[in-house]
Amino acid sequence: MSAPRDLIEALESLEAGTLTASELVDDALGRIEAHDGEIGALLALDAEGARERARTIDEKRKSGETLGRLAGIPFTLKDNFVTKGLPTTAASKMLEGYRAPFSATLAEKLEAEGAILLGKANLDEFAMGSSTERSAAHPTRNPWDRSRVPGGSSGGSAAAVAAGYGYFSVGSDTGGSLRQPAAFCGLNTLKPTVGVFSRYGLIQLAPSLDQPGPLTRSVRDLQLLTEVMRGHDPLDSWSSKRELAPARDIQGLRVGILKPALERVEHEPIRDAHDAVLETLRAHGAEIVEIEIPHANIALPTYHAIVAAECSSGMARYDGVRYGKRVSKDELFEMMEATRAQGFGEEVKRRILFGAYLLMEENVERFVQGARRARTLIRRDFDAAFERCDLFVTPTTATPAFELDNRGDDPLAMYLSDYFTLPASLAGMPAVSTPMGVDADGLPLGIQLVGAPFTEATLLRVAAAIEEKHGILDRLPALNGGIG
Amino acid sequence: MTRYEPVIGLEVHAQLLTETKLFCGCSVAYGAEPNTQLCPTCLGLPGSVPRLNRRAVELAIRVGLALGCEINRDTAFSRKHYFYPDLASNYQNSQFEPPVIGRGELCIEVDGVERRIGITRAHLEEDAAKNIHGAGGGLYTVVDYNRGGQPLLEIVSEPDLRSAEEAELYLRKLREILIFAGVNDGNLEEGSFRCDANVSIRPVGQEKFGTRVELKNINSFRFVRRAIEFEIARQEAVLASGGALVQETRTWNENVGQTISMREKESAQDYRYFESPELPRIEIDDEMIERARAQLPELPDAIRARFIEELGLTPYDAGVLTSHPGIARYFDAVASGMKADAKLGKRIANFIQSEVLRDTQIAGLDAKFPVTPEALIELLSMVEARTINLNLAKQVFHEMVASGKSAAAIVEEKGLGGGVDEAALEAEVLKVIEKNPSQVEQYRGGKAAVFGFFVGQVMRATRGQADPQLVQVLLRKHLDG
Amino acid sequence: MSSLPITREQILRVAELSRIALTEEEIEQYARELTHFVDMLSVLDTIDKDGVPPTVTLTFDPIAQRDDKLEPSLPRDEALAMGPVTSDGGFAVPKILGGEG
Repeated sequence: MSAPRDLIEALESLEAGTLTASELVDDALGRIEAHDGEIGALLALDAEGARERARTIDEKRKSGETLGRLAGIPFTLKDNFVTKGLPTTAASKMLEGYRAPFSATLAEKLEAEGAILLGKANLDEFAMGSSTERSAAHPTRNPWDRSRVPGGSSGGSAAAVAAGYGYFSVGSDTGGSLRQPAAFCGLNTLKPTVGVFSRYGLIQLAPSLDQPGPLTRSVRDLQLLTEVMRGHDPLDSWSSKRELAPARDIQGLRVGILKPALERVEHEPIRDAHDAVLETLRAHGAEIVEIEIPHANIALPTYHAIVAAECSSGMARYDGVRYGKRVSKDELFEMMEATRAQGFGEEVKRRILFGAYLLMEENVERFVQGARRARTLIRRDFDAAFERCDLFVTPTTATPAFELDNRGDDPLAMYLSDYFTLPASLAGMPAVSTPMGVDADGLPLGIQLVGAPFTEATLLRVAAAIEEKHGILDRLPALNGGIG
Repeated sequence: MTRYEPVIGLEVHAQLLTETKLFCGCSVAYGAEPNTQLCPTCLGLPGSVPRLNRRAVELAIRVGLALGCEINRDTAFSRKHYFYPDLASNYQNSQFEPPVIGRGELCIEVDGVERRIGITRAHLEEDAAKNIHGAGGGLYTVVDYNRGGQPLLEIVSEPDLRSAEEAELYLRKLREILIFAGVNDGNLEEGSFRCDANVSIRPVGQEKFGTRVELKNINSFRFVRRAIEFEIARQEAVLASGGALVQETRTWNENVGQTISMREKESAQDYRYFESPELPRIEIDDEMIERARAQLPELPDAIRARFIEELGLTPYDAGVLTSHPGIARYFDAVASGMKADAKLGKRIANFIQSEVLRDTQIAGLDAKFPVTPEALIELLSMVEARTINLNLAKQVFHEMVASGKSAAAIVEEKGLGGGVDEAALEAEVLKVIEKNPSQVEQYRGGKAAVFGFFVGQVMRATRGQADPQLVQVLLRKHLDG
Repeated sequence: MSSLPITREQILRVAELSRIALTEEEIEQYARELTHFVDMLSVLDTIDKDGVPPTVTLTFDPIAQRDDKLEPSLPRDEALAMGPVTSDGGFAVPKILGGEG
């Protein structure tokens, strides 16, 4: 079978009858079998279920029934979205074998459109991390170079797409957990404006920051998925009813750049690629404008204070009483303390403890309210920036994918890899990451486009223009035998 | 010898009368099988999303209006963190500062003297689950999460109460207001109205408060009085013997008639309050307040005043007829249906008290009456119309309750009241006049004594049931022309 | 501005509030790391945020509220199926020391 290059091409083949859903699923399962032993992108696989759903869709197509917009397309779901049929573990011992009695809205929506869930993808435990090495199960390896991380926390999702297990994945982004893996794995992703995608069924890390989003091979795939995934969900009290703003022409668009931010980038290929992209946009008639986010230097502490506090609070529910792991003891609090000690990994414990410290009565005003106020200042910076530009670009990350086990002893160093992605999370603005070529080692590089609220369509149009010149779809491991 | 005065403040947790929980659509009905009113939100499942029940906010505003409290227009939910199996998320969504309802007051009458008791605040919070104690052979506690997530209003009084009696009066008054406002059913046994008391004592004349003891789990009015009285005496005894009081939590043990210290916590709690990142702020505009005001039923003090001033009731009557909002409504329906003045009002009240209430069933905020107000109006109108007298009316009433038939039907059936109404009586009168033309001539000729003949004839025709005075009136009307 | 080092007692207090049992090594490790973390956060003290309202949560539309209407609950057996230990229709937990519920 000549595998379709991207989701849209797969849909065209399905509609034309040159491919069946069963063939697509078999292809995906074949790749998983061949590669996932080493790559480790998945935590759960439902081969039989996927085959059966593919058969059903093929039959329906034959009998001329109306099918959903994604009918026959295999996909994966980050394992922090609850699914009724498959376990949901959040890559944590705390939820080993946990079977949710309900499914995330996005999971149901995608399946209702005929997409075929292959399985659940690996992540840093409870989405806390930037490399997927913090998974309690096993790390995931980057299909482009298996000695390197795929990024995190949506590393399993990104690796799955890059290796061709299906045509897209849905992950989550709190401070860069979609965008950084997308950049590391040569993919496209969108962290949407707050409220555009339903978060019902997404296991919380920090509710004021968590966003779901798709990971795709191409920009046009991302455009289709954005359209399919968006929509009001009455179960999500934050779900927006607004339409997205129509896409604007690149001609005359003011594109902002952050000079001081760029100076932090030591990896030359990233700086060169970034400049090349600017050239492309100029050629399309965009105007490049220098902008500032004056409070960018406090984005890191602001983000981490807020995440620690919200996480510490939200993780209190895991205590061995109603679901998940329990370490048996004769006394209640001993049971809870042992359960949480053994159920949570190091990073999770770290954030819970740090967050509890920040929330203590003597600290909460200084650190948590302080961070919440700083966040307002950052939002205001963005609002001011969007008076002077229509969107702005930054490299998605300061480096390409780094090697596994290179964290060293300082966990705070890991926090720095989110430097470019944090501010858009704090401000709730939509952000796209799209590939901008590879470096000398053949490692993919990503560029981030950040827009004003509800301007996703414009960001995607700009991403399409970038992809035309700088895209690397043909290099994707999925199209090269799954090997990087 | 130092004289002490008690200083008492009360915290009431009142379940709001919504259909569903504060943050999800699960039922709040009492008495369901354990763990059958759960969903991902109130069970604290990962991936769940809380959604605020706007009705709870509306009812909270109503309470604020009923108690004359300030209503804060923009407040937030805060999470109160502590680990306990009755909290599905190990935090409770509550309010810290400021609360949705601010300062107000409640008046009680102590020995005929009015006392104003301050209300500090009232805030919205979710209820905790229930421990169904000691299953599994005593090694385990079993938890039922049905109650978890139900909407509560925590109403805190100023420490203005100065005796156990005042505390009980305050609670009774508050409960009554909440019942009449339609926001709570006042059921202490079922736990929809719960009270904790903060009790301390101080030397008379001292401003500084003494050491405070919290009394929990007071679930009847009798216990309130006795528990507080015991606690005051206990504290006095401790101080009198030169001891020191410990700030602690105690419960009332009815069996031994004492307050007992609950296990002291190892260290002080730090609830780590912070504003919830998921819930909407409680924003109240003028329209919401006006709507709540329009929905606020008449409150018991006002009802009683009206019953006394306009409907001729004694304070005692007014008390009986406002012992339940359904009863007050019933009385109002009958009185207004009969356009009662003070005299009629009293007669209606007497009848209801003597005949109707004994067969009335109360369940929560519902009152089920043996006959409808309309049916009672029909019966009492006949008494007013002198179709039947009061004694007969009571008999008819009992028959109405037993058979379900209307007053008119029973009166007709049993031939009581000489025909049903004035019109029928008038018809009888005309018949008698028609049948006795010579007597008519005699009467009209000046023989006044014949009048008695006609009265007798009409009474015979109506088997002695007619109202003699009405008979005379009608006879004169038609004989005198 | 360098913060005072986080003490062992402070970590124990935080661990108690968070209900996590820590080993000796963990206590030491987290004390060190929390000290650095607080250091990193202390730059927040230096910015001028007086009178700036906190961003507690971020939505561009008002957060929706719901009508007081009944919605289906979980069947009991589904709810209890997740429970590590269940008994008599409920979730069973070991008794608290001292026996107070």
